[in-house]
Amino acid sequence: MWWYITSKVVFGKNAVLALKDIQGKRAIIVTDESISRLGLVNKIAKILKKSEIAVRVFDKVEPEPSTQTVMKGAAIMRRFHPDWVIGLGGGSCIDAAKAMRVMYERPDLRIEDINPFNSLGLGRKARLIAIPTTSGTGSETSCFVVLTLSDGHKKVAFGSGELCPDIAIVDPVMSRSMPPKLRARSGFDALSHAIEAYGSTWNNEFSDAMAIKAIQMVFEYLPKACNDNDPTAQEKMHYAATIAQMASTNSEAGLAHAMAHKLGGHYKIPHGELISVFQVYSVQFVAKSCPRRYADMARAIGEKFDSDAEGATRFINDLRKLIETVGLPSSLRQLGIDENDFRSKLENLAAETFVDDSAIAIPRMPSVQELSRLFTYSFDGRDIDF
Amino acid sequence: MEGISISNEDLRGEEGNMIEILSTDWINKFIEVLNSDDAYAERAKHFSGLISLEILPSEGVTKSKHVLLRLEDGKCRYGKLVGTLKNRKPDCTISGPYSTWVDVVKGESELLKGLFGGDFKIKGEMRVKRKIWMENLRAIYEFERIMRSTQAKL
Repeated sequence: MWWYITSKVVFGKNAVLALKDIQGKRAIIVTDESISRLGLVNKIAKILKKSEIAVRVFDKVEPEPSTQTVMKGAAIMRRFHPDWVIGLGGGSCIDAAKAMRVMYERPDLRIEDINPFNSLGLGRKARLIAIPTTSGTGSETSCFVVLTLSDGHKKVAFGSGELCPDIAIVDPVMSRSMPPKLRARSGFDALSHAIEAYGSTWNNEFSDAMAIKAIQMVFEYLPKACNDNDPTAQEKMHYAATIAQMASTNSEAGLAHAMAHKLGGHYKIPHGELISVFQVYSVQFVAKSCPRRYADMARAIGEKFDSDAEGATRFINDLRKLIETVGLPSSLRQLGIDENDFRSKLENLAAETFVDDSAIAIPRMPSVQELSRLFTYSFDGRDIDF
Repeated sequence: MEGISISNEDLRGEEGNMIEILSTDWINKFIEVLNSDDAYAERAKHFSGLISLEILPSEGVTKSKHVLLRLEDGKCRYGKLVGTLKNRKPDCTISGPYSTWVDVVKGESELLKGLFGGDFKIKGEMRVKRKIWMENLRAIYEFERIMRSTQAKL
């Protein structure tokens, strides 16, 4: 038995106008200060106020939001009593909104209780709308939130089918202000969601369809969206990110995400840049014993070949080309991480990644020792030979 | 040892004379395999408690049963098939139909995926579920591997 879980998706230019039709008395917008400065919060608040919905704004979400921020937001919600929680921004803002909504509705829980083994019983106090302003994380349709624990060095994903927003508003106008570098790393994160979903041992017919479509869209549109400032390509990338997460949340993330979560807990480096580094090496590692699914992905983007191994190799080469084309890093060294500091953390990184909850449906699960080597090879930018 | 014994007749499946999956003989072999597995010991070293694998009726099993396992520091100190829990309170119960347990043992289903998807349920206090989510997801794979290894050695 398995589920295909997704939000109700409203998409297209000016899809945010759908907000005028929601029924309620109070809405809280969870966002960050940069989204406020761009005028996007006012735009949403205006639409809501026209429907006589009282609006409050929490704009203190930081990148890689902490559990403390979640608790602060939930405390404000308990005083304001919103019947709508609106996550507006990138993945951090939407993840924070999702977690705050849980802690608002269920103050009896701890954040760690957001897991698939518990029934959260959400929806009695508030419903959740997610409006992405970046084209990458797909948090608007995911059943997960990634938070930084209170010690500040550990990023953990919490998952529950009930975390999936009730409504995702995927409006490309909201992502127009993204600079090219953010487009590149966000778009590559979306690609990774699709690749890891399709490569997951929990893959299924429903998620496969979304994953393949997203992979095709990213390869076609990401270079034009980043390098040519092509508005049509940017619109397509906004949809591709949502589609990719529809695949990922229904079949699991993978090794690149597990490694990025753990390294990202130690170094403040944008998630998408870590993903761009780890994706190639993780596919190389897994494809050594399970190339077929990567050959499928190569075929989907037009490659022709005689064997699965050759197909997987071509797909890896295509990934490298895309990384280069959109100007993303291909090794940790390029990210400016201090080598001595990195090596001092290596043992812990490998052990933490082994138990990361994104590392549960990988066709070739590396041992702790192999993870240590994967990190080292990713640092140096060396092809995986084990 | 506490608990009431259930004979292997109670878990007779279609394999006829073979040791039936999750029967008393099978559980004894499982404990032997688990206690000699260093990888399991390492992965599960942080999990201790009385675990119940609840077998719900399906395909030839007409009454619910429980496999009680006392897990400590990566070892199984005690195990028994019982018909009712009576006054025993497991720290954690993993509950699923007999046929689904059999699928897991045979490698045709995954225990962890079953827990995510709803084929299996975890019953127990929040703190136990929290501990499983935060620290022991990989131990569930190890537990599943021991189950399959047990079957392979019979």
